[in-house]
Amino acid sequence: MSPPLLSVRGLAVAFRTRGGDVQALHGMSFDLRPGEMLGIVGESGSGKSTAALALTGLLGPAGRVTAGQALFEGQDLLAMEERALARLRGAKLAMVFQNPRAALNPVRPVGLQLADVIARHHPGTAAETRARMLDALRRMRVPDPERRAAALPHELSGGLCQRIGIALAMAGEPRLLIADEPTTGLDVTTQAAVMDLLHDALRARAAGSLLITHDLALAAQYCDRLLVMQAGRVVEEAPVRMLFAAPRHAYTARLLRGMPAAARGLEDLLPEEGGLPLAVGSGPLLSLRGLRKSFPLRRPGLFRPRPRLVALDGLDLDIHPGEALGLVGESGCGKSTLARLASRLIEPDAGEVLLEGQPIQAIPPAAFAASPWRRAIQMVFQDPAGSLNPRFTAFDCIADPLRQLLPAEGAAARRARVEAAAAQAGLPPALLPRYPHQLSGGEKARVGIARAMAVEPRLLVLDEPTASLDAPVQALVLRLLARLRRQAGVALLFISHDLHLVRLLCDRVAVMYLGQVVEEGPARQVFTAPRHPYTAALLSALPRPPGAMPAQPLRLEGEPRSPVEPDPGACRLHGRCPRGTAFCATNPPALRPVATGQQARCHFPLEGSSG
Amino acid sequence: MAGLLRRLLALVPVLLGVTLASFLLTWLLPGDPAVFFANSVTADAATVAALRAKMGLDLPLWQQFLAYLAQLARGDLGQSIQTGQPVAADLLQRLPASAELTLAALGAALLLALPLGIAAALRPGSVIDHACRVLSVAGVALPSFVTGLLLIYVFYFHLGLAPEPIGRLDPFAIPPPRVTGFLLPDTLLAGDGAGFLAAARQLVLPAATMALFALAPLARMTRAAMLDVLGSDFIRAARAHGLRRRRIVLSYALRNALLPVVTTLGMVFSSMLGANVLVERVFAWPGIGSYALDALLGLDYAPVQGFMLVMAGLLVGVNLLVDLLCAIIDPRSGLLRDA
Amino acid sequence: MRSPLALAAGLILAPLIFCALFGLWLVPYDPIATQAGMALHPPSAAHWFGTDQLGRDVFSRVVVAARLDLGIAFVAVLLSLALGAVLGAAMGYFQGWLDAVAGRVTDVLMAFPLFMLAMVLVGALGPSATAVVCATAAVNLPFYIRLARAEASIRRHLGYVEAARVGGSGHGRILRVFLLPNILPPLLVQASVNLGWAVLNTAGLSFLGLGIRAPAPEWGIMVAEGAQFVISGRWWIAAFPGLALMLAVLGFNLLGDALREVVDPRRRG
Repeated sequence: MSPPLLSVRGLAVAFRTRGGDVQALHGMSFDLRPGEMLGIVGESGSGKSTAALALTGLLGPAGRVTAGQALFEGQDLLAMEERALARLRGAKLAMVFQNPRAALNPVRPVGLQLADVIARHHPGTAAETRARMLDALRRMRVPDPERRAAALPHELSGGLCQRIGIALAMAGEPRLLIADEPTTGLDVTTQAAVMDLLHDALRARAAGSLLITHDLALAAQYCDRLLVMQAGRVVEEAPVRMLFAAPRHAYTARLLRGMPAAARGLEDLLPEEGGLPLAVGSGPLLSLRGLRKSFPLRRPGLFRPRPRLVALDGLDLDIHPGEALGLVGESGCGKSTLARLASRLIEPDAGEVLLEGQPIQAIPPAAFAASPWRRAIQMVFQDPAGSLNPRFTAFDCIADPLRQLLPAEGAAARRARVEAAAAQAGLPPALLPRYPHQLSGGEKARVGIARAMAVEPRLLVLDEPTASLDAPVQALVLRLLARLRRQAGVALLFISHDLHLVRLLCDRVAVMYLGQVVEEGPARQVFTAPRHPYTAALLSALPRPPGAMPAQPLRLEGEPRSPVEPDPGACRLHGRCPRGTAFCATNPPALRPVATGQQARCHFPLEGSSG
Repeated sequence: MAGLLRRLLALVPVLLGVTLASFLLTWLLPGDPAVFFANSVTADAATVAALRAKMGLDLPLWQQFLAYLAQLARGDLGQSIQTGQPVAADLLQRLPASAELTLAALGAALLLALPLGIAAALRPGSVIDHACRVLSVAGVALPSFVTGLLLIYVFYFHLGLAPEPIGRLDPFAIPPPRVTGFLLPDTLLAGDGAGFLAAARQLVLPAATMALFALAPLARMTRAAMLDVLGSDFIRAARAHGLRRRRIVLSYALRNALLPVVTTLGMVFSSMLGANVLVERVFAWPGIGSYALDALLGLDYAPVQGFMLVMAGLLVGVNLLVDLLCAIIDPRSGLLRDA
Repeated sequence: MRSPLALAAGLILAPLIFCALFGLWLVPYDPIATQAGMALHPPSAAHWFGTDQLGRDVFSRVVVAARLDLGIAFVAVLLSLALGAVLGAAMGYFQGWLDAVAGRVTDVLMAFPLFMLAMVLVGALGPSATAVVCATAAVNLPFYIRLARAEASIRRHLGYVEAARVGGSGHGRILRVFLLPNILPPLLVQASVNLGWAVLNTAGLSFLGLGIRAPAPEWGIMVAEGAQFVISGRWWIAAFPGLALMLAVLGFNLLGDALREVVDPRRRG
């Protein structure tokens, strides 16, 4: 076995805060071999990122290394002078950051930023540097590099910004690369493309790397070994396969159990007696018919027309009583607009929303708020922290809609309802007098669910309700939703970018791409045998833990098309789709049946048996 | 350039509003101009009424406003009762005095505030940082008319270093031939070295008063913006990529930190225009501020109107300049860039 | 929260507010009564801050003046805070025509230098404390409107406002119960800094002979009266009211900084 590239022993870091010193890392030790990718996984606050910043000497004024040694090519990184370390950074030791756009200078064209770094490590004439810069962009498969080089960070997608982030890190041909949550916040297909690039670039140079992530499945797919961290300590270290087959530490076992990617069903995630009820076949509870919604953007020129961002482009969807319908799609596909339309927070430009066959737009918004219909549809919001009034206690948050929607009830009856809803949502009564800032993320999410459930709705619209929660808490919320459905018979419209969650919770799934439903059908069927190329691409981009069924490999070309003024005459996927033909450029496909209960919006759907 | 055109077009309603506001405010001023122009408070009612009709003061308000607009379009700001001169000529004659004072003060404040704020942000907790913080807290609290008197007491009465605070030039000195109206360039153009020194000596105290007033917010914002940018993700990333410190500070951090500083500059300029009146009063400076104050106290409405228009026009122009500067520093604003 | 800023602000403001409330009954001399024989005496044991050109006790006048200066500032700031918060919040929440119209009006007001606008307003309204209050409030209104508008338009799409709509609340109730209480903290920070500005504004106006008129004890008037004696070295007539003015402004600014730390702990320094 070759000697380690990086050998860390007893790394300890403390942060100075107003309340005194806080120890963020307690003696972390590990070895990294050349060419190896070591995953450091753990929940938020476990000290993963602190370790990365400590190793590169970028902790900032509040952080301080209190003990330890980090030998890198015979030198101790932690004992080095700032000057010497600065010479190492970017040259032998590089970093890729979370939130790629924020890691770029907002007012300097990205090409110049890349050229700055290239010139630092490979002195040369301006023309040579520019050629190197364009070459680096090409290697990162940045489309149209000359034009993109002149763009400012805010004009590029997150995926493109991270490709540039990787190009910046690789500019000095480092021996060691530290990637700190490099794909968090990116869509799943973008994540797959960026991770593939990073992985290939590292392999080509035989550079060692640390991948810091909260996503166990992602780490498992790309890393050779994993380091599990909890509260500033390494609790387990093992090769990926061994870790998954036989976790030694209880915390690792809990993390693995809470991982939606590995679970086959909700029972797996958190065992609970009884299966889910099947949707009862009756008339739809809520029907969306031909919904259109677009938002005007700034005029590009004084006398030019305002372009419109088309969020929903003729969307049809039915939700049956008591059913759980999952809605998946990447950012910008119109999921949240759909949620807000279904909850009647905004009005559609065209189309109908029918509640039990009744068109509800006929009721003016102000009257709707006072009508009994209002109770029928409630919503749970994305960010649990932002969705609670900071000046209300948990009790008041839950009681507020009751005061408005059931004004005739007395205080005692209302209190009973609040307590019942809190119990239903698994919120201990002792937490009711607390204010939002005194509650944890999971507890806030429960308050949001209790508030929506208190008025006994028929349909619960959930807009990414677990997006900001750590995996174990996410699993608890998911289980809670399944129980609510079973006990209260409420229908769920569950909107998520996480396909695993939808697979676990929902009976039926609808896949959205650029304002349209491209595939719809029974969840199990769609996930095992996708017919639309976009669905297939989404599924194949999902990171898979060892042992999971391999997906049909299908990667889409390039970046998602912009939802601004889309070409009405073409299939939305045209240009990115490997199955597309010239026919798709001029004939937009309609949603049509492809299998029992399954529809797809494609002229050339995939074969069903191949999955 | 569509952004710039849009920005210029947006000025039209503001300028119209400014005109309407100055018209309405001066209309509210007590006193009847017709009585003044009748040359006698005891003029009989018929004479005054005839004069009112002649001046259009008996028309409905909106017609008076239209007439006022027409008058403005001819470049006519009306006639001052107190000086007997056209207001436009009066203002033009006094504007250079105010402008020379304000620009000198602003320049001095910038030259001090920027390096101080940057140095403080680069070494948090150092002596310079503490000096910057104390200055920015205490400096904002200094009323310019009190600072001015304090400076006069120390530098004129006690130390005798400064000349008597009686305007731009010694009353016995011969002013240089008027070219720009600014004394410093004009004396230089006339080759009058002694005159230049004399004018500069008169300028130092009032300019220092105004500069002290502008220094604090500028230093404070420079320090805060620089600290903010230095702590941001992209600076950390630039360090991780191995860029040199000098490049990071001067080209990456400073450019981003200048944005809020330039915006503050616009606000500081606005309050300096206001403070002008006070400082001119303390130092008997013959600028447009003291001219307008005399007019206001004397209920001479045309100069007040003219003064308001000039001030608002200056401020609108400065804000446009600030926006342009911001657009040059930060292309994201879209003012100079096609969407 | 024991911040040194809050402590300093308290140490400066408490005596000033005490003077404003009780000064009238505690001062050794009548602040208005003139005493020709006692004119222009420098500070002494009998007259701590000396006497002015009419033989009035400067100390008594400085103490009593706190009431007028601080009182005007408080009322003016309260007025513009209340009006600006409601109007700005409504503009930010509803947007639409109200926002367009009121936005234009604030743009026009802000196109003038503030102090100049206050001068002309007081000139138009006549010399009285009420005029100064109205002018100060009007001139500051645009700042409160802009701040409240910005804060409200950030929050109008926040989960808890949308949740209130799904929960059946009307727009009026959302503004009253959900928006206004939550945008108040940043407005209060602005108000405390603004108090300092309002004191300066009041004193500046009377220094120029607008607004409050002599012989009322008021810091700006006192500085103006003392100004002519500074050249001949009799500094105390202008210096003490000037010092009081500076302390008041400093106190309110420190208070604003302290409040800002509480409201927004991220932005320190």
